[in-house]
Amino acid sequence: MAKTCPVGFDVAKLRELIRAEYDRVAREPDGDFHFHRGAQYAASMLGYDAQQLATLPEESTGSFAGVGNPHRIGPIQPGETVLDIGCGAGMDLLLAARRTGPTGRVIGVDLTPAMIERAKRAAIKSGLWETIEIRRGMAEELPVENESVDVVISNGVLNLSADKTRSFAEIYRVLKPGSRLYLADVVVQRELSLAARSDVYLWAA
Amino acid sequence: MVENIGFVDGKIVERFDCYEGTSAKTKLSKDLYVQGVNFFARKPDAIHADSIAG
Repeated sequence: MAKTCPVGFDVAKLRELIRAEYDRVAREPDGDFHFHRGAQYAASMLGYDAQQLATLPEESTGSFAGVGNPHRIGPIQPGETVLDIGCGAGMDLLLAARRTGPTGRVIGVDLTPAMIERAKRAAIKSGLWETIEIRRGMAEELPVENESVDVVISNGVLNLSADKTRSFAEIYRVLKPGSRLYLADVVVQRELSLAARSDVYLWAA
Repeated sequence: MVENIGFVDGKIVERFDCYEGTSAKTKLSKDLYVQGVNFFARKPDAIHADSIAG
């Protein structure tokens, strides 16, 4: 990942491009995108359990656009508090809520209103709304209290952050001492050129 | 980066070829070797953090 954007980079434009792109994913999940989406992709390429995904509302699985699988990284115990950063339409959120159970709590944070609406509908339809809370916000400024979370999950989101150092500092702030980060994201094996890091459209891609 | 912030035990635990078959693979250049990863890290417990601080 590029940790921060170059000097003079239009961060506001980047955030708007990201919001617009994922608004389109929420409204037109079958549209033309340069990345895979949906339950079949999640099961065949990222190790999700296809039978488990089949029991989730299509509102949450159809728009899934993750790049890994945070649920394979470690356990989530009943009663724990989980934060999903960039929860999107809620597929990972709902899976986390099933793992924490009725005594746990799952908080989703997302920038895109259309995704938040899909996630809320999916949570209600799945009967998990009592366990779930969704807040509008971003990774660089999490609307979450200090040291209140047992597990942070995130899937394909932090690579879009214009200030990853700040995003990781926010994750550190909200985690309780001794608690865990289960992060799924993209990495590159070679350094990006300044031209690539300065291209806001490539950044949001 | 995550160690500088204070996380411990950071490690990539799994890799995924999440862009295989997409237009992003050609758009981002195969030379960058873009892939998805599962990454684990932990915030030290309070006792461990205190002993580091001395």
